Amino acid sequence: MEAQKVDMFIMTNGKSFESHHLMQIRDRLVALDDSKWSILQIIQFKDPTVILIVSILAGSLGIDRFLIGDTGLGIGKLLTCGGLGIWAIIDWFLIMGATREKNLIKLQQVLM
Amino acid sequence: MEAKKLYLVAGLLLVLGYGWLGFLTLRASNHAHGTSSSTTNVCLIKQTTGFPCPSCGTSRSVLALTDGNFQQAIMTNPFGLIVFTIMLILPFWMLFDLATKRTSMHTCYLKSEEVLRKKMIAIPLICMVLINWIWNINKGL
Repeated sequence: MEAQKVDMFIMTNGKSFESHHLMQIRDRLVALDDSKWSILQIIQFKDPTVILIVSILAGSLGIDRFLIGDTGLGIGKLLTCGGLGIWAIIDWFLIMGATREKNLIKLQQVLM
Repeated sequence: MEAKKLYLVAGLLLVLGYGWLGFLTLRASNHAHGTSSSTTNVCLIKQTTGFPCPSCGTSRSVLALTDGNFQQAIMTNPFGLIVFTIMLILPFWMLFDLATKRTSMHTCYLKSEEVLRKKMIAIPLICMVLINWIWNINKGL
């Protein structure tokens, strides 16, 4: 794929991934076939900042975990009242990383 | 989610849950002897808004179940039944997996996650949680 297109993708979606993964993603995309470009543009990534806001406001209901696709953990959080409030607070710090990880998995599934 | 992480999270939650139940029972017995009178409330939602959350009352419900008081458990919060069952089964399941070096709990977790994501199942469950929440607020837990 053209370097220009790849850079455009990284510029628009860069904040959805861990910074140390960006170079790796760039290399993978450059080596990718041009026909995948349209699929790449369609993928919707979760915004870590939005998930963080949800986590702060409704973390003890597990909604943040439901949103990023961790249904099981979400139910666990909901049933235990956010892990007695402790898990809910820990997740304020973990949820952005978890979101970026989920985004990477989503991208990898498309690139497969 | 990876199997290792699931077992770690489940283990931590079980320790936390049993520790919490132990603390509550201990406090209740102290309370009966008149040495302690404070109430403990860890729910973030209840502390910030004053309204109970959907799972408020789960501890009371589980404690009622351990006393064999089934009706009181249901009336306090039906979530207690689910939590009670999970807390009863999971330790044995985890030990079984550990002993036989299998990951049957992880496989089951992934499968149930897949089922729960289906709209036909997710929407009724969300409605039930909401109804339970309204009931909780009405009960003033």
